Amino acid sequence: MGEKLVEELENRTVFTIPVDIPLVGPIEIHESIIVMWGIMAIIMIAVLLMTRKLKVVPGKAQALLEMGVEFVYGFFGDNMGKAGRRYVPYLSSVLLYLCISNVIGMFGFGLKPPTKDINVTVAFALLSIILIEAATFRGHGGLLGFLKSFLKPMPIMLPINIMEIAIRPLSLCMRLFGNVLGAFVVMKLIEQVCGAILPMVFSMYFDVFDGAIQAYVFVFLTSLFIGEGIEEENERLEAAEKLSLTAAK
Amino acid sequence: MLEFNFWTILFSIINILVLFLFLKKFLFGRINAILEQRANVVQSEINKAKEESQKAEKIRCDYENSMSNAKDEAKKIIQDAQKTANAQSAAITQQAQAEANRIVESTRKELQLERERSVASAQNEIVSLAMEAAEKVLGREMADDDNRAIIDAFLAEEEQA
Repeated sequence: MGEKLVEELENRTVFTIPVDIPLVGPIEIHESIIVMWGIMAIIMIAVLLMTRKLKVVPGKAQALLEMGVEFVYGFFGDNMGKAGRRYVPYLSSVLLYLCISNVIGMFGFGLKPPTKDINVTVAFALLSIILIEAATFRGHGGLLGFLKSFLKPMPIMLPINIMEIAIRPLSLCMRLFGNVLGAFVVMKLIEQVCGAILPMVFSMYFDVFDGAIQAYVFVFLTSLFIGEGIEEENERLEAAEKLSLTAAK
Repeated sequence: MLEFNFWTILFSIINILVLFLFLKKFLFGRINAILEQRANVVQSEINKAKEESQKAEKIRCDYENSMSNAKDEAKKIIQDAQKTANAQSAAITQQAQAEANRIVESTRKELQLERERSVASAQNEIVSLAMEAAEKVLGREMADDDNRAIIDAFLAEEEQA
């Protein structure tokens, strides 16, 4: 039983392209990457089909799609304000990607959630921290403001603020990885104890609920950090808007 | 389980970025474009409706103006007609009055003339009769002219009396 579980937990290399690149070795394509490609293909085909014939007067499917887009704008808008609108497409893409990745294990066919591979969550976390820092840089309008933001809310917070650059992606990555891996292990154990019906019930919690929650938490925290970084930009925007409103009056 | 693999990280990053760019172009790009288009359509419809209502308001104003103008015009025309009619009737009445007066006057004159004429002829007659009677009484012819003068004088005296 234990051996089988360990085997399941391993990140298998599906194929290797024998090109020896210095320092990193031959190109290895892992199972998780293959699953990601599959998810991407499904998402892309679905999006292409749904956005094929958009009309000004929408049909039911288009209205649903628009509602979804409006929803993510509203959802992230709460955290990031007006200046954060430009980051919504990325965060929505990640949310969709993570949601499907996390719950894909429940469909069977030997599919394993790619997010149970720590390398995948590292990639997500890396992109998140790059986006957060870039948005903060932009929000403070340059290098000086960006560096000053490390002294806020008070200079004594400097070491903590610097550490956060590493802590934030680490916690994002580990939380996602740990949750999905834990759910995966528990589901495998349950499947070995009882093969029918019981896994389905638990899958609703461990795969669907936990998976969706973790995807939500990941993008929520990322948007929260971005919102923190672009707070000043939002204030500037609001002030400018108020000014133009009073000017219009 | 926890071994890091450069290639998986790299390919994951590429995957995420590719999916993001794809969704940005084909999902958010298209949906936002259609939403903007719809907003434009609605805005233009609202503008058009506003314009239409303004136009209708203007037409209503014009109509009311022209209606009140027409009413004034009609009143004026009626007044003019009334005035003309009054003036005409007054003129006609005056003319008729004058005509009547004239007729009455001329009739009166004619009557006067007639009377004078008849009085004169009666006088002549009377004079003739009186001379005839006197001839008869005197048995001789009177010197006509003298006697006539005398009698005329007498009659004139009588008349005055």
